[in-house]
Amino acid sequence: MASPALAQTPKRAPALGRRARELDEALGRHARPEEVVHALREALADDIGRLKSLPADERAACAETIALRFEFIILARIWRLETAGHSISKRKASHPAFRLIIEMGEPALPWTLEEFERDGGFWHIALEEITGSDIAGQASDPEQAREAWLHWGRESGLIE
Amino acid sequence: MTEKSVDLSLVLPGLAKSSYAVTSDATSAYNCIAWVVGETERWRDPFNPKRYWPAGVPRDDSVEAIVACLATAGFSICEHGQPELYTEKLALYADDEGFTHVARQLESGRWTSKLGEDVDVEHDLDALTTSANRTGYWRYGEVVAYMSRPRSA
Repeated sequence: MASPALAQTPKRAPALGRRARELDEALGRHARPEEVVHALREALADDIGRLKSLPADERAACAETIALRFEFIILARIWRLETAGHSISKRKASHPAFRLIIEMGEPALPWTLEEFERDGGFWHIALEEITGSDIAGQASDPEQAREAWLHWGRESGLIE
Repeated sequence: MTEKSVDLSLVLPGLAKSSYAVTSDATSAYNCIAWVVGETERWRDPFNPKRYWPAGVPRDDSVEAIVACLATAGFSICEHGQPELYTEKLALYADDEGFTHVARQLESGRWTSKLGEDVDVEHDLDALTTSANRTGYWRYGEVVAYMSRPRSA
């Protein structure tokens, strides 16, 4: 099973101003912001702790990753909340929060794999779009597809 | 892996205010289209190659394509959703973009639905419509068609 080549340098997120506005709008629609804040605190606590111990010249890159993950968590929660009731995958994949996750590109891969591992569902669509590969092409059911992607993620060193 | 249900009062406030019952755990193993034909092992989806779709049925989310999918399980278009003896009925919901949801009538006259990746519920037909859930996140539109088949013993 061939793995898609990963770029050495993560793609930067699209223009921060637009993303900030979109995230702000998305959070404004979210009826339970405290849930998002809790998820952010849980997911980012280690990263933020590590940030404090880094030399000054490494902090900027680490802070950028934390900011991206911050965005990912918000978008993932919103996507789940707003599309879990849909039965047609096209509607899930066309949701604005999902499209913003796709725009993040390769930096979003480990977090997408973690969501897929924890919650299952339709994260394989994001993985296929970001990598441009169908790792689970021969899988005959969703659980096999999930296992194939998680195996690829471990082999690629993206998840443990 | 555990699949979590969302808060139905956020996504379908009209349903939450009505008389309804949750009848299963959340799962992405099957969806509403599978549920109404009695399947709980697979998800029917015209767009996703990892999910099931009957051979020969158009791969789109028009109401016509979903009607064709359900016809392969013996259902045909009927006039209304009033309960009829020995008849199993379906109600198809759609919005401006196409098909959104399908519910199955129980012998009691109430309806059962699988809500996407979430739970099964027993509900009133109107409780899932967009007009009953204007402040919610999930928009199923309105009921646009009914189908029926003889109810198996």
